[in-house]
Amino acid sequence: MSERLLEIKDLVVEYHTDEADVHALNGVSLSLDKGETLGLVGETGAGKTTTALSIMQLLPKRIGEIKSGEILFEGEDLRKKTEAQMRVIRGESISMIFQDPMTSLNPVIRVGDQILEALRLHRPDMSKEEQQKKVDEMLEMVGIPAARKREYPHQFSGGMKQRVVIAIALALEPKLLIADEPTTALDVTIQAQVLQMMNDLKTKLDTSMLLITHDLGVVSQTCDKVAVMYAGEVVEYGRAEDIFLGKRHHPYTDGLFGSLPELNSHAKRLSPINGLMPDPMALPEGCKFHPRCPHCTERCRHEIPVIHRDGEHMIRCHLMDEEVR
Amino acid sequence: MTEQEEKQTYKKRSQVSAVWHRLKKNKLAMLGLIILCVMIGLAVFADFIADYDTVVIGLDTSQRLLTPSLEHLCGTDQFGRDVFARSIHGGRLSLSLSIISMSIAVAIGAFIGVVAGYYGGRVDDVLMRLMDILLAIPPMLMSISIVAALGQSMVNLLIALAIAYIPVFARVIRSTILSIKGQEFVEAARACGTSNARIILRHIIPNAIGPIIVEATLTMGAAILVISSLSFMGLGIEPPAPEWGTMLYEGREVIRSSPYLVIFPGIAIALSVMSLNLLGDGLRDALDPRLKN
Amino acid sequence: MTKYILKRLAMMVLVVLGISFIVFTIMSLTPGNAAQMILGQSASPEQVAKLEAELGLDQPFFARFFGFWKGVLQGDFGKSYQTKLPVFDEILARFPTTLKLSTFAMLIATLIGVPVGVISAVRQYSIVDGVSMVIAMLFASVPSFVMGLLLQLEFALNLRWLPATGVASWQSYILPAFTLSASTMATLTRMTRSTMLEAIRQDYIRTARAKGATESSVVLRHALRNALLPIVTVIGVDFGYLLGGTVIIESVFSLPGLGTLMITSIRMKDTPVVMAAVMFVTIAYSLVNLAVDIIYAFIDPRVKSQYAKG
Repeated sequence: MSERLLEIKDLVVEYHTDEADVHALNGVSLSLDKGETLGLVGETGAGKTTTALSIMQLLPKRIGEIKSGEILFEGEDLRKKTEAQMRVIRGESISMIFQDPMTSLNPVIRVGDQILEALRLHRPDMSKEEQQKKVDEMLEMVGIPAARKREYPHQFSGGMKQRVVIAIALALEPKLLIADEPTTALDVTIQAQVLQMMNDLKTKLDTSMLLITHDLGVVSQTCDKVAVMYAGEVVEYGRAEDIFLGKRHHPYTDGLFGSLPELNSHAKRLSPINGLMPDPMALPEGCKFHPRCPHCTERCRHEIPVIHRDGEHMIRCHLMDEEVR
Repeated sequence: MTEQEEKQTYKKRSQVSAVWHRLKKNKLAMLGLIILCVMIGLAVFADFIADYDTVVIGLDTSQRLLTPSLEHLCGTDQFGRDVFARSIHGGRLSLSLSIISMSIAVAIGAFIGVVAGYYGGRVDDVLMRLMDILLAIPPMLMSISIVAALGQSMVNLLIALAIAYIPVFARVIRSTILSIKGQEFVEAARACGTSNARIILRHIIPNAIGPIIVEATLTMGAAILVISSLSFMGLGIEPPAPEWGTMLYEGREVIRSSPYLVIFPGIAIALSVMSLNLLGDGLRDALDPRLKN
Repeated sequence: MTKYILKRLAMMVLVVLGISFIVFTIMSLTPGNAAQMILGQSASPEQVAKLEAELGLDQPFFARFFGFWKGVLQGDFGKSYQTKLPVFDEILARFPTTLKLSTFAMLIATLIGVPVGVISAVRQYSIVDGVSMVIAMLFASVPSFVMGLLLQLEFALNLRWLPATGVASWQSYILPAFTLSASTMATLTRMTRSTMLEAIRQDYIRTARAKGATESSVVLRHALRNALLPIVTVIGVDFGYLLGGTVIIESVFSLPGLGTLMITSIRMKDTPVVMAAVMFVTIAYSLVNLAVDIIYAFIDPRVKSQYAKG
């Protein structure tokens, strides 16, 4: 049995805007063991990034608020940490890669110095030469010639920038790497390269990874576990085999797979999920997926479904009740 | 009305109402709008509120330099004239002069900006270099110099203000047009064989109107400042006409004994400029909601 | 980079030429006659004609314009019609006052405006933010001469802390420079606040936070450097406004600056003085803006590579 690195229990997050309160996360529970990769899948607005920012304790000030729940990292609740303690954890133990490499790097600071900053903050005992050597090493590791450290972000292509971002994130060999759609903004060919590299580095540095994506292909290639999110809830969670090969699924997961084109299937049309994500300011009663669910019953409209467990595989759906029966 | 046109008017109306809706939520902008309306109201109905002939022209020289009281809300000046009456009548001059000069600057500046931005190339180069040269002289200095050269008169004041602000509008409009020109809907219109004039009128002007309104509001405020500054320098409106800057010029002589002669016209200028600035900023935010989170 | 600066300097020469031509035209075409101004209304037409010939005013327009430039290229700005003194000396005597005043005002505006703007952005919606925004709004709306008169009344005439007029000592500059700085300070505060708010929202700020950077490093090292570009732009543009705004301040505080000289000279049709004064102001303004554009390159590497290209 491997060691538990991260465990999120019943996390509830709200955003307070001028107009209304947005229910971004409504009781999210997740767990991740050391060395594993957990894929967080779902449509835009499902709460994936909010989950990531909650772990980092970097929700937008004044607007984002964690109402309840626990975020246990190596058994300690990050919510109870002070800002100063969190600063030590950020970068050192947990680091994060953001979606858009074009904007994640500071345009007026040399890329080498941006990597160096992480070292300076967390390894003050290292000598200047050692720090510089580490910067060179990190750049070479992500496939960039060390000589380019004196260049500025605008001199790099999108894929190269994301490599720099990855170098920054991994410079301190964190225990957990959160990657928020790290390849979405890149060209398809570059996507594969970057993903491959992240996977290799993760294994090499023995880092666990929380991979946020809406690309099921990416998940199937890299993840040990998968959590499917919908409207601020985890509707299905399990090992990758459960999700990709298992028979029983949440209707939303079925929908996600139905939206994928498959070359070897004879189906003439895709079967996309009808409708749109519900407005997080006015979530539907009962099961939040019911307005779009092809199997919706009267009960789904009023009663919030409970989680059904089958080993590590969890599904939050009323349909499972009947199947169990 | 075809269905297409119907859709367009619907869209226009909803855009205007969306902007209004956002503006209504901006407390500062609404404060500016209310102050502005009050100032304009006072200026328009100045004759009903305080008849100029009786309280100012029919002056009673015994009532000189009276401190503010119920009878004379802002006191009287060294000639026994009611400062409140002069201030609201002065609002007429300041507000109308700023509106007129701003309109001239918008009209000419918009024309130059549209031509330069839309046709580009050599035309753009020549026009914009000319604007650069005009912009190299600060507006205040420019208007002061023009009035000093042309001689002191209201028309020359208008000409000076208009010339000083033409380049500002030409630039704003040109840059808006350049940013719109490259957008796909203009490309699409051109691909459909739409004429240049039609593209400018139907597609570019409606999109440039927002920035123009914002800039015009802010320019009106700036123009009020320049007008009063010129009058204060003895280059704008000549006494005894009741203009805020002129009143300050006259009040300056007795500032030690009667500072209120400077304070009240000063407040009038500050309030009108502030209301226009608040409104202009509010409009800018309302027209471009991305700027606010 | 050098190529860019040379290009800009060439452009500046063009601007100065253009402006001198426009000013010369205005001075020639507008009503009034320098000789008549000097001699007064009672002078006979013969006397006026004689003085015109002495001053060279009887020559055709272009001859006079090129004559002026020929002199300038030889370092001679001519003599004032009024005082008969060399224009250059007169300008040199007065320009430092104007330049000191506007530079001092710009320093005050920047040193107060930028930090207050940064604090307002970091503490958005706090009391500090609210108070500084209200003050900024006031400073932007109160005309400089009103503020000047009131400050003069309070600090010079009533409290007697500072001199009311003249340039006897450095203290004389405090009131005028502060008055002159007010509107630029307001612009800078508001500008700094909004660009900082914009910068703080950027993804690279999240990246910096995710690295574990301290709040002060996030604000100063990451956000402020990116917000600096528009701030420096405002400083450059407003420097021109300050140079122009000194005219009014000089008149309120009776300072012997370029502004007052210019107004009297325009009225007296003293073309050589007007030409020289306008050219000095324009060149100072253009140089400041060139400096601003060069500073851009040091703040933003993207701008630098653009300059290198053309």
